[in-house]
Amino acid sequence: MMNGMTQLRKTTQFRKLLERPGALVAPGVYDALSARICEMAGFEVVQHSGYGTAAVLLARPDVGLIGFAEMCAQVRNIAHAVNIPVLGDSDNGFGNAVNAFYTVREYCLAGAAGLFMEDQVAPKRCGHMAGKQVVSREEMLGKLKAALDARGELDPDFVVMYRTDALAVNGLDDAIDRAKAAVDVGVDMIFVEALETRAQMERVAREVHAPLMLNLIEGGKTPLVTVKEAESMGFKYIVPALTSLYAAARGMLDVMRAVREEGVSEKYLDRLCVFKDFAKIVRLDDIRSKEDAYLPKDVLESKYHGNTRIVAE
Amino acid sequence: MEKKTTLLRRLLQRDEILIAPGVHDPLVAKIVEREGFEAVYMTGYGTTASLLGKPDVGLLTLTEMADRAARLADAVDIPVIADADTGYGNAVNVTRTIREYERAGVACIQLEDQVAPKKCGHMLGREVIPLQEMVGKIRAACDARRDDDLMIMARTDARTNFGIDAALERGKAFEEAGADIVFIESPENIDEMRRITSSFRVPVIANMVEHGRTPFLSAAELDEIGFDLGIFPVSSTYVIAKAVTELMRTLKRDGTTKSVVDRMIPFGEFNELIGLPDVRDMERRYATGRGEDAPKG
Repeated sequence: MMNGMTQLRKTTQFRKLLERPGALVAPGVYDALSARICEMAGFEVVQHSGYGTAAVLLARPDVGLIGFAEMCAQVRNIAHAVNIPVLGDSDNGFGNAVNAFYTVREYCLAGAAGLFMEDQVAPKRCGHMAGKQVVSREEMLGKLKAALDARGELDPDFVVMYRTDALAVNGLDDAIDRAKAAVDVGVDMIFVEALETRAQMERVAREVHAPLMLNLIEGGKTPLVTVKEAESMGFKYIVPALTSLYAAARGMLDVMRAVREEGVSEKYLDRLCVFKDFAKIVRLDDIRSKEDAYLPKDVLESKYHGNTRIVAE
Repeated sequence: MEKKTTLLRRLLQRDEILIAPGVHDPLVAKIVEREGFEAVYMTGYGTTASLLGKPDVGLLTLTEMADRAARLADAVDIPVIADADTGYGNAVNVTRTIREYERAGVACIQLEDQVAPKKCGHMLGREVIPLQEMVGKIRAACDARRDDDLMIMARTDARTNFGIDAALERGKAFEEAGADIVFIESPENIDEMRRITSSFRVPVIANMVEHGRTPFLSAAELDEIGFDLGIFPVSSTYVIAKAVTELMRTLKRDGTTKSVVDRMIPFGEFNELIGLPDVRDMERRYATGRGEDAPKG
């Protein structure tokens, strides 16, 4: 039997992970399935990706097309699917400071352990794209204060991370000033998006005194440093944000092209999680043990005739 | 702050009956809270009418109901007792239903023993599932909750087709399986109601549906019979339907709503009810530049 009283809240669980020495790797996930797979691969925390959410819900780029309710539903499904903490991508908080307040509330109620909120003008876009704009520092501080008050009401352990997109718009000095101002109002973590050189990375790590996120996107603007390098620079929370999405896209493209050309075959079996492997990902055995526990004996017998599994091993 | 689940348990331990008016949306829930009620009941009947304009015959799904429950729980500070119909499947489905409703922030979840698709408890043509199947669903519900104070209310619809003895027998098995509140739906006279209140250790509920199958009693009368919880699930929905009907007849006839203005809540009071002053405060506190004192033009 699950008992919430003996299990740490996900927010508290994440705070404990942050307190541990060394870097923490949080792969980006875009839905419940990708989160579950990352959990099975042994990660201790996952980072929800807005870019990935737009991709899987709409097959569209990350340019502010996804609404608040859709994003929230995605975060909720992810949080329900795994036992590890999930941090949410909340774009620009979906409006002004008042909206930011309710965004934190809903993400917290959805089961997220925290979120990051960025200073882009709506409609926002992926941090590694050209054409970004940012709101004023003063407006962003209001949004962050609202975010902190909202989490204060619901769960003080809920993490609020400030993401600034100011580097591409106003330069690194402004991005660092914004980050420092955010730390001063009580933000828990800082994410300076789309750093372009190792020198910039080192300067941020030297000057901003808060746990720092580093976003690593294959083909993006930031040099693909190793976790060890990032850690030695001083980054705490390393996010390969789109690796799972890009791996899924590559795998599906290659296999589906093969299927179109040659039909279904055994040639690519080694590149699939087939029926019984997939049953493990979606935890089919949990369903069977619940049936055993709660369905009447005669119903079980007429369903299974003595079989103990829903799918044979 | 005390959890809503703990608060509801405490309210039900008092000597006097707890009255939870039924609501189908957050606006009505806020009115219930403002008028001093200590708990609110989310009606599946009213929610189906509100979301679909259709009768309560099992058309709404888990996600739609849990979403409405979350919005209600978010809108008020009093505990929400939420109708979860049949639990939307068998015992396995019930575990997810409980998780979704618990995540929505309700204090009590009501499950009934009808065969899916269910019907309103005061309609005819209801069937019930085997007792052992319902017992399994209740056990699954109790095991699935993460907060031990979350209350599971188990309702039987057996009275109408199988009589009060069969219904009470089911209620006892539900209590045995761990139900925190027993709900014997639609008893048909006061004698049956007294048998309900003298048969269980856990709290029991009376369902007051206007023109329903059960004697229509006041809170004081229900309290005297020994009920711990009383719901008036559809009264607010019916009042709204009647009031809007009269309004539309007037507007159609007169081409204006002037003659019914005194029956409307004024602009200022309405804004107060839905918390506009809080938003104004936030606009000032976080300097959004959108407050009343913002520069014009």
